[in-house]
Amino acid sequence: MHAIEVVNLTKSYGSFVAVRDFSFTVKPGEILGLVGPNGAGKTTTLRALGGIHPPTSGQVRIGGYDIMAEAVEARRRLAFFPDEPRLFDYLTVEEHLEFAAAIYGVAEWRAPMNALLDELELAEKRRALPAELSRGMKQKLMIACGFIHAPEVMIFDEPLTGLDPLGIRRMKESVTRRAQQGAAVILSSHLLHLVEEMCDRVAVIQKGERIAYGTIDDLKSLIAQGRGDVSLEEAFLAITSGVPQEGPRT
Amino acid sequence: MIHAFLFVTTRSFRNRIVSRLKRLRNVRYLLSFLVGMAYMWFAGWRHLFVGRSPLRHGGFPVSAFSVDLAAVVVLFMMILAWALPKESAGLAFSEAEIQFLFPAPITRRQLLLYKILRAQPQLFISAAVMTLLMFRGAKFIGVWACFIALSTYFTFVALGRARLKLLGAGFLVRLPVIAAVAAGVSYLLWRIVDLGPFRGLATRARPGRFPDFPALFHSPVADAILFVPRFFGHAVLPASIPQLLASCGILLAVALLFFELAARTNIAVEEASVQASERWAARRARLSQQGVGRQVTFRRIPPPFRIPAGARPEVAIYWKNVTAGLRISSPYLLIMAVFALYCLVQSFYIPELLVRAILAGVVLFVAAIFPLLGSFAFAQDMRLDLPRIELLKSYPISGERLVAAEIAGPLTFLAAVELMLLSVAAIILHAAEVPAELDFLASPELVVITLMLATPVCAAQLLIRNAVPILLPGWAMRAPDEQRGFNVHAAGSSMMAGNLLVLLFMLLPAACIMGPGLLMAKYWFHGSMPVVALTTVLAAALLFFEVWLGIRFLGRQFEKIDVTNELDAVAL
Repeated sequence: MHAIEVVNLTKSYGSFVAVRDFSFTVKPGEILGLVGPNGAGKTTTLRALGGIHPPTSGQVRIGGYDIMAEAVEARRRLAFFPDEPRLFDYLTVEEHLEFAAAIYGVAEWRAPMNALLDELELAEKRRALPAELSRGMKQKLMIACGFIHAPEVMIFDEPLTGLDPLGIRRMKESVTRRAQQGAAVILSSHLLHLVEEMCDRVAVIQKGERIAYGTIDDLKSLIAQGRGDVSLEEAFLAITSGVPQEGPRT
Repeated sequence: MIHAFLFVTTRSFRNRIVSRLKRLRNVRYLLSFLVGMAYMWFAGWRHLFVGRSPLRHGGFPVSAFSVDLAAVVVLFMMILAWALPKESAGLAFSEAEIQFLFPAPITRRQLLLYKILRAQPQLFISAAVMTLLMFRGAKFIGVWACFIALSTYFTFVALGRARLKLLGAGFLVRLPVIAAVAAGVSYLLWRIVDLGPFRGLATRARPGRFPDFPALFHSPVADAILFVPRFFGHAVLPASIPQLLASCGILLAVALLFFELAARTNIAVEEASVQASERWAARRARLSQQGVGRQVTFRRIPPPFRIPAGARPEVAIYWKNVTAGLRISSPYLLIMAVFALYCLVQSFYIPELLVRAILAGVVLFVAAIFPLLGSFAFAQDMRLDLPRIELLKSYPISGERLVAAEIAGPLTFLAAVELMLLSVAAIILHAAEVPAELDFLASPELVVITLMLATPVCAAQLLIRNAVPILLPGWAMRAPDEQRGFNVHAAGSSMMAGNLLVLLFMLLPAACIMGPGLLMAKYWFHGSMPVVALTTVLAAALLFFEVWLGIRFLGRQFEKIDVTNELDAVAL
């Protein structure tokens, strides 16, 4: 069974169609990269996947549950990580994790919390309020809150914004490890080298429509024409400027 | 260059208005807008269109007295502005303005001109609202001219203070000088003020209309001191159109003069402006997400309880909001507790029983308005969480349960304080001598009724307050560069009027049960307490039922909120 199943997702705002007939699946343990130019519809897609706004039409299933019809069950299985960390100003780092654990019904949260604080280098700040944290630390805390219930599905919207190089490395390791443990991950980013490094498959979206979808090699092969040294960035630029056709579907 | 400045100013103003109007395509916003307009109409606008003199409806009288009074107020504002401690010469610019303008090839004079031009839309709206709501006898153009002259003057004073600082006359030097000037002017005006015509004025005044107050000053000295300030009075409250036009013209000339003087101070505003703008941006960010009942005051207060293992998400939301309430609104809790305790203790030391009754009356009055005002102080619910709506919507909890849990936190505080106030009032009344016509206030029946109804009334009020961010999130959140001023207060007062109206409707069904029930209890059951209690229980249950229906409705609406459509343009 697919962990994430998106069928003909369409999201409109009045006459403007932000996402049109977008379909894809993500298996457990797989990392899907969602890339596209600014305003392509990436955040809209991710928000629909996270149940944050209802799709105009189409279906989104998380762990087999429809995100609209069985919203609570679907959300219990996912963690949504927005690009901007919006924390509760009046809760400490530790209390954020306690709160997140309770929201997702995690009974034994102390050990995972301590492990996460160590993993994300927040242990020294466990009693600090968000106002006392840097932008990067807030981002890490946000991510820790999402990890606490060991979600089956993780949706990242620009997850590395504000992190230092070491933080970026740690974050990549954390996400990859969770994927290896069976989590399905969707990662939206403009950092194409990151996508190339972490993702198993990539969906390219432009003007709300999927214009390419496949493995990294599939996308590269679209423009390679015998060259062996094509980067994802070159492939992306070529694809979004209209050179290649729809990639192979898997 | 001025073309570019005017372009930014007018386009920003136009785009802001257009974006507001576009939002009205949504029926929820349109209906709320119409209700707000209806309120504004009844609050004062109708006087502008139905041709009746505003003087008969509470507007300021157009008289020599009013002009003199306005002139004195303006004079002291102008003098005291020099006594303010700030002397950094920082002008508040937005981040975008700093990025675009500071590296641009423009002079300080042009920067100052831009700042003054950019303030005009806000001054325009503030002048309009003030004319409509406060100075109904005034002419809009006059109020606007006053605002332009004053804002330019204050800009000049800010730069002037910085220049004085550079010349060695800092705050501590300025303060005694300005205090002496203010005292001297006060003394002089007091010596020459003519209060003779005011004696016996009350007996001469005809009921229903303002008496024709005479001028306060009839001396050449006063004419000299108040020469410029009187133009402000004449502009706001003109006796004739030529006087209005003449005053506005002179005020604009005064504004130009102050602009010229401000430009000639040649103070380096850039660095201080960057600092001021950063402070302003931080304050704005804080205000857009915080405000009364939203700022963390006691950071280290521990949570009141630990979340039980395996608790439902609702418990976590409640825990979060109660913790927030303690850390944010403890000062209000403390104030109310001290107030209640003071009244209680004081009542035992006051021998006069009537004074005790008055004290109890004060506590009852505070208890009566507390659900309304307390809901602002204890705002740790959807109002506080709106900026994090993306996160809330991703939680595995239905909208209905989320709304209920959000409201439960502040309800705990609100109901606790309300019950405390009512209990204190009841205790004081019990020990007081109450006049016969107010005897019912001390009756045990009333104590039972108020105590039983307190919590559902508080819940109803919180429900209404939470309806705003859920039904009208685009209005509940303030954009980072949102203008402030009288227009914001006007919007706030419309909201409050809407709040009271909805609360009235919510209380109506309960009142329909209470009224006949209490009459039956009094006349058929000789004021039987069980009957009174039963009636109150029914009314309270009905009120709770309404709250439950409201929560269900808001929960469904919460699930329908489209973050991208309604909030991204504002703040997310």
